[in-house]
Amino acid sequence: MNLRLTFKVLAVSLLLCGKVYTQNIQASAAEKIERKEALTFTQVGLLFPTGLGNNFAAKGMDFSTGVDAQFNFYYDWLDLFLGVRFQNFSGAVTDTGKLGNYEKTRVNLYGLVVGYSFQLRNSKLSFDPRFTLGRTVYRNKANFNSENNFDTLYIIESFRDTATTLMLSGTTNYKIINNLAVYFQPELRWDNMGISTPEELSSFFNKAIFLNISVGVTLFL
Amino acid sequence: MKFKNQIFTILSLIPILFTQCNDIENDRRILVKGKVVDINNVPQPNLQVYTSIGSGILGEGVTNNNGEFDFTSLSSNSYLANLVVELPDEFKFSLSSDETLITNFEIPLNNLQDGRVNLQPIRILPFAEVKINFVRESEGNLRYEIKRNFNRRLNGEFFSFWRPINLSEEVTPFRNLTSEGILEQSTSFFSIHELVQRNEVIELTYQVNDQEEQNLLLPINQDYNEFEINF
Repeated sequence: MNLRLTFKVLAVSLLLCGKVYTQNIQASAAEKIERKEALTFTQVGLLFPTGLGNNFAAKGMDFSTGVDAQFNFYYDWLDLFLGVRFQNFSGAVTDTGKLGNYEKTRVNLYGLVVGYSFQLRNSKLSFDPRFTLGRTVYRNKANFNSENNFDTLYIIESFRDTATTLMLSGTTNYKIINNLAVYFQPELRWDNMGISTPEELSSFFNKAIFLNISVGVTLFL
Repeated sequence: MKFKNQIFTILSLIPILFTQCNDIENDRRILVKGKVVDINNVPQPNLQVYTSIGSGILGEGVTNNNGEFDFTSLSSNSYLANLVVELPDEFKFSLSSDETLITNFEIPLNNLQDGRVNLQPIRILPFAEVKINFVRESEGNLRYEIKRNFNRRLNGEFFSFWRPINLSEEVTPFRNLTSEGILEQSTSFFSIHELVQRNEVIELTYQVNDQEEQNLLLPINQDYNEFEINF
C-alpha cells in the first residue's frame, strides 16, 4: 500500500469515527437531558467541622455546628457542574497561651465549586465528588474588660485572619421525591492562612485543616 | 435632585461601615519570650507576664522554674501596648505620697523584630523613692538635669532632661504628678519626687544663675531617700 492510499484510508477512518462519535455524544446528551430533569441544584445543610493536625485550629479551638449552602448548575448537557458556596461556623478559643488572648471566632467561606455527578443506574443514589476554591475570613473577637471605680466596661475588640481555602468533598445524594434529595457530605478542608508570624510559630499558624461532615437537603430545579 | 443627593450621601457613607478602627493587627501573631531574674540573676518563677493594650490583655504566660516565659500574643502597633511583669509580693512598693501600690513592671512593646519580642533578661529590682529638695537661699534661676538609667531593661536608654526653673518669681505652690515623678514647687523650695530603683545611682547636674555646673552622684540605698541642696 503506497503512502497516498494510506493517508486516504486514514482520513476516511477519522471521518467515520468522528461521525459515529458525534452521533453518540448527541444521543448521550439527549438521554442525559431527558434523564436529568434539572439544570440546577441548591444544597443547604448543617456542618460539623473538626480540626485536624498540629495547627491553631486543631490544638487551640473548639468548633460548633455551622451551615453550608451551595448553588450549582450543570454545565451544558454534561454531568459536570459549577457553582458558588458559602460556609459559616464558629469556634471558641480553648488555649490562649498558644493562640493569643481572644475568645471566639466566626469563620466565613465564600467559594467556587466544580464537580461531577455520577448517577447510579436504576437507583435513587448519586455520587458527586467536588472541589471548592475560596476565600475565608476568620472574624475574631477579644473581650477587653476595663475596670474603674464604678463599673466594669466590656469592650469587644475585633480583628480578622484571612485564608485561601481548598476543599475536596464527596457528596452522596439520595432522592426522596422527584426534585428533592437528602445528602451526606464528608470533606477535607485546607485553609492556607495569611497570618504573619515569626518562624517558630509559622507551621502552627500557616494552615488550618478540617474534616467536615455536612448533612442536609438538595433541591433540583 | 434632592433624591439624588440623598442617594449620593448614603452611598458615600457605605465605606465607613467597612472601616475598622482596631488596635489589634489583622493577620498577625507575635512570639513573646524572655526571662525574669532578680538583681543577683536568680530566676523568678511563677510570675504572671502579659502583653496588654490599655486594660486589654493580648497574650499571657507564666514564668517557669528557670524564670523563662514563652507565649503567643496578638499584635498591636499602638503606642499603648506594653509587656507587663507582675511583681512578686516582696517587690511591690507603695508610694509615700498617696500610697499608690506599684505592682508590676511595664515595658513598651515597641521593639518587635520579625514578630518577636527580643528581651534581655528582665531584672526585677526593688523600687525606691527619691526626693531631692532644692532650698532657695537667694534669688536666682535653677536649671537641673537628672540622668539615670530610667529602665535598665531597655538596655541603657537614658532618661534625662533639662528643666529651667525661675524661682525668683512669685509662684503658687503646686504639686504635679508626671511620668517623671512628682514636682513640688514654691517660692522657697523646689522638690523632685521620683520613683527609682534600689541600688541605682542618680546623677544630678544643676546650675544656679550663671554659676558653674555642679555634679552630684546620689546613691539610692533605702526605700525612701531624701536629699537637700541649698543654693
